[in-house]
Amino acid sequence: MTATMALHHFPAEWLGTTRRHLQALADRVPGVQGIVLASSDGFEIDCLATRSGAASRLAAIASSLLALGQAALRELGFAGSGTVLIQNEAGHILLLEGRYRDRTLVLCTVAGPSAVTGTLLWAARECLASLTAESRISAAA
Amino acid sequence: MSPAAESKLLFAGPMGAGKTTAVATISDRPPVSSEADNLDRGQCDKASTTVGLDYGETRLDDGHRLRLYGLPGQERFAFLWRVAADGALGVILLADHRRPEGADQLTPYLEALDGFARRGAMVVGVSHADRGGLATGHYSSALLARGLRLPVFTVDVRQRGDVLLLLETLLLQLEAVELLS
Repeated sequence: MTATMALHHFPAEWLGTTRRHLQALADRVPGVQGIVLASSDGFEIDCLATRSGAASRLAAIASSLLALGQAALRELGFAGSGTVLIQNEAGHILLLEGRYRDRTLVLCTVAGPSAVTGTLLWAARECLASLTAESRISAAA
Repeated sequence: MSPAAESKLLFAGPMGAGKTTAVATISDRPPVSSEADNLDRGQCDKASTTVGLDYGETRLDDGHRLRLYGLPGQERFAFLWRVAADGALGVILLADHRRPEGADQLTPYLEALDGFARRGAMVVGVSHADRGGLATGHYSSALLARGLRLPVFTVDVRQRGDVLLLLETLLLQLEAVELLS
């Protein structure tokens, strides 16, 4: 299956809004280098400032890492969704779980070393909240 | 093979071949799973799919403890196959006999885990053997055509005895390879 086929699981009106929310995230956090919105099974839904091939690969990596993080939380009895943050001196990779109706989304944000972690976390959460709110609007339409 | 106290084994193969079930069947403790909704129903008609790793543990009668890792089947997760392969002793490669491509379904795993296959650190289990159009001997022939002499069994991965057969054959094979080297 291709990412294009995975997109059939999401309505066009919602897909038409995702880029705006990813752009808002990028605008809020200086240092963001790329953003990928993916399905929980690793298909790219949308991306910003990331080459298409790289976005597909990042979508698969992000879904795996987030799933492993969630598995670790469950093992420790920490209920609920989780966040994965990987950092080194070159930058950050932040993975957050969100919802589109009954589907799980993965938001992967790549940022350089100048990005402030707290700002990045806040902005990524805001982005997911906007995407979820948008899904309610498109569901009601 | 000198009996190590603990070994790491991988379960590989395409989506739907039964890797998660095999790990769950044999694990002495509830396995750790990392599944997600499966949007790719054309590839395999099941609700969820492994996107991270399955993890289970079992102890053989001789005390040998096995750490069992189920890999995600889709090729987009191949980066994780390479990560998980580090330090692994061997691979149980599962094929789904319902797939029309027959032994060709194993090609990505045989290529990515080539080192295990070449040194005999791999056994092949064919699941859903009653539901395919090809003879199950087709897998051995296809492996031989690649220069690989690997044990091939038809298995029901829901049966502990069948999964144990694969594990024990793999360990015996590793022991034989070490004795002959």
